[in-house]
Amino acid sequence: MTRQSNFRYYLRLTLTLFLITAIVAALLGAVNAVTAGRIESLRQERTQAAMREVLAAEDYVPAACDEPGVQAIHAAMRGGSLAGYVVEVAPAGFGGAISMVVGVDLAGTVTGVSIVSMAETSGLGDNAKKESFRSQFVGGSGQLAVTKDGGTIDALTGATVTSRAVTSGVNTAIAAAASAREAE
Amino acid sequence: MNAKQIMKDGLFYQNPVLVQLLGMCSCMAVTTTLFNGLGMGLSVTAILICSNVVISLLRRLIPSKIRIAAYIVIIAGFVTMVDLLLQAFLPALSNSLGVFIPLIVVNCIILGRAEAFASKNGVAASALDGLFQGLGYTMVTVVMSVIRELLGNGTFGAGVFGDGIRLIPAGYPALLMILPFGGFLTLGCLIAFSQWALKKRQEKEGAK
Repeated sequence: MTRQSNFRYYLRLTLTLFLITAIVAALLGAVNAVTAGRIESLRQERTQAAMREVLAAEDYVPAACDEPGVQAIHAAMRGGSLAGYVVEVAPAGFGGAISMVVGVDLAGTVTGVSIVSMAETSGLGDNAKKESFRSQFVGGSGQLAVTKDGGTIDALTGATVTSRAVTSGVNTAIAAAASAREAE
Repeated sequence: MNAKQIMKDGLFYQNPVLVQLLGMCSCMAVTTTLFNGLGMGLSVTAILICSNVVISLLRRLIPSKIRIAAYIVIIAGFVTMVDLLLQAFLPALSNSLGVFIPLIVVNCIILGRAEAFASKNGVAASALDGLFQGLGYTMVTVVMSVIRELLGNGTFGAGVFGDGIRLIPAGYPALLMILPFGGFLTLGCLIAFSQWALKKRQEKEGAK
């Protein structure tokens, strides 16, 4: 092959690949433009619904928090006064982070736990979404633990790691709410 | 083009999972409920048809030296589109399949069919090949889901019919069938069965 044709050959390779990449990128941009808004609003809807479920209030005001492991903390306002805190935490479960929200009232008692998203084993760990498991946390305060670790929370069958993760998430939330209360 | 042959190959003789042994990872990871198995199978089928058609259309334009890179870009593009569309319009499925949708990019079935079929055949044949290879994969994920869900969780059709129809009372099902271990066990049995069936058929044809 002469130098000239060699150059042309590689130019052709480069340009072809560039063109394919550019077209795919443009299409992806188009699909993203169509779906981005919907995905974001679905995500917000889910978080909002979860917040209302764990601690009903009219308004949720984001509050500052530097507790480790806390994603976000919101002050729940009811009738113009503080009713408690909704804490977003994401403890590490069996299949990655478990994104959940925990409601804590002013006395430091858990009012509700809701799982926003998780990738736990289907049929085992993802049973953490069930009301029967989550309701065990309601009314708890201080440090909670699963029965295996000497606590009061019944772990899910075959999903001790998930149960421990959710419990530690609730503990983080209780601690975060307490420190946010002090900071007020 | 032999449509009937493509169909039989995709579903049985060249079934991507049972005979070509491709895409086994996702097959074991997601087949815990019927909803997941069916959703994954149909997602793979849709991506396989799209990527086969496009790669077949471009087969004369893509120089062979950069073909793998080009295929991967095209496949990754389709997978990301499906991922975004599922997140926006079928959030329940997207939540439960999680990371396995983006991972379809590295599912060997897609690249395997691009290389072995779409790059050498016409558009219509490639589309059919994508459809039936995808359905062959879906068939396996559905069968595996039904077996594992029934033996491991005691239900049928969880996600499709609410919480599923309970066939075995809670507490009795063998939990390990839901775990990865149960996936290997189920897939191993299915492959053995399909090999036995294919061999039996071959002997029958040989005797004629």
